[in-house]
Amino acid sequence: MANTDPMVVGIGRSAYSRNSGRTTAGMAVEACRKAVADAGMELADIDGMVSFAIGDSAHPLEVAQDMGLPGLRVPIEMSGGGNMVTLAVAQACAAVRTGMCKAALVFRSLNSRSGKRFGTFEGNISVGGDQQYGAPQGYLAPGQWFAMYCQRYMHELGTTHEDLGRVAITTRAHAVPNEAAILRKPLTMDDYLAARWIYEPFRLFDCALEADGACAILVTTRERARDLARHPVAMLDQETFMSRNPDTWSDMTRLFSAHAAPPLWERTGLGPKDMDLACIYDCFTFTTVGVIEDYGFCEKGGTGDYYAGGRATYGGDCVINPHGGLLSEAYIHGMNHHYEAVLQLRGDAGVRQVPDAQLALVTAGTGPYGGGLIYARN
Amino acid sequence: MDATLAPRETPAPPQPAPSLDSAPYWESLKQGVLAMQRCAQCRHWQFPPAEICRKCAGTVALEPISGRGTIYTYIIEHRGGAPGFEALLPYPIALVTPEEAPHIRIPARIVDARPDELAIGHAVTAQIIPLPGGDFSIPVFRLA
Repeated sequence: MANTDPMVVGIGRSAYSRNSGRTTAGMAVEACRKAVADAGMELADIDGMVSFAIGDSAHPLEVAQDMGLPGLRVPIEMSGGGNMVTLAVAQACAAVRTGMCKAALVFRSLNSRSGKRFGTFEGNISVGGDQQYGAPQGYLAPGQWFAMYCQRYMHELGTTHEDLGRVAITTRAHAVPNEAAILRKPLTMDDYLAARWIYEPFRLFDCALEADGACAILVTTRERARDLARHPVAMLDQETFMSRNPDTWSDMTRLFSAHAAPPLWERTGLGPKDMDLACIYDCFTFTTVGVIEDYGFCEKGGTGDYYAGGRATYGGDCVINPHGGLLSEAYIHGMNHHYEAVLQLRGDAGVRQVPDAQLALVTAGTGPYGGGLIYARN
Repeated sequence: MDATLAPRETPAPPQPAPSLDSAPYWESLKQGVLAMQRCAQCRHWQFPPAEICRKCAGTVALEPISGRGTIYTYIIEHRGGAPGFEALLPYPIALVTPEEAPHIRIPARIVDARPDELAIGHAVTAQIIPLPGGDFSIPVFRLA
């Protein structure tokens, strides 16, 4: 333990909805101000901000400006989607640990339902870069890329549609008591199987719930955290692995997590059995399947049995996505997973509190790019 | 004629925006030839194109490939998120590995096939067709 260890000391969010009627800057300011107030800090204490975007968010300097801050010592906007979120948190942690700044907000703000929808394009478009080959075939949505992975995964490892359905159903059950979640009606296997195809093998409830909203966490050092309002949550360690092109990833049965999990467990001396909860970036049910198998929560191909046996929920091995995840709470690009992990480790999760939660794994991304980090109560 | 009954103009499918590195690939397709970059030095095939060989940094040039390959994986597109494909829905898209280079994956539609005929590992052959809405051609595949 060192005085410079990074700790999450505050969390904040806007309402999650399907049509915010607000700007991404406005929602980001709300989430960030709430995180600062939650921590018991002053706006003037904030000298760093990290975010990630694909041309669909508010820049840290815009948010700082609209919070009335004179400027920032560390303004970082990383280019990317939900694969970047743990790395964005890690970047803020590194900045406070090294003294580049004293207190850094990490936020994500997007209108992913009412504004820029992923995988939806209109009018005549030209596409360059890696996607220029797929786009003229009608192949340019992330859901299509990862449906490709899922089909191969099912072929090689025997994962079934019902296995994917079990992930959707348990995740929804977790969202039911969560007042922030958008989808709170219990889901049955019949509902799941009867829903329309999106990108076969993905049906509607295999896909993240596109939503509008913003979410933020506030990071500072252990030393600074001592006299703040909330029980601080330590970011113990993180590991990221990113490649570029989903199509050319050599083995679609092993995701980024096959690279990112072993070093994280090895360095921390921890393992899946130690995790009280896990907030797995679940842009698709399939992502949860591939990622928890790579992190060793169950054997490869074993997720269906893991969920069917109640091991991913209260009373089981590890509560996976107690907030309802991207599938049922909201697609806030994984920032909401950090909010939930911190809330749980503080013991502030109310009716969905995981008993005596001490350690949480939070992941980001799917396919060829992502990462994971571990939060600890102490 | 009632204007509201006039057929809506169908939007064109997305067009490629070639770079200096990829322009020869698209030019070759326009000439009716499916070709991949190959390294003059280590003979490595690569796709998507790049300025130099990803393996040995050698000089690359396009070489025609047979168009024979297999389905590595596939999906059935039901949503139609991209413009220009509404009339085809639902339609299959595959990642095809050419026989010359099993590490390469070409994203392409599978044409003239029923969804229940598709399978991972199925042999396919390429056909080059014009892309509506511009001056490009694309490869699609048929079950062999």
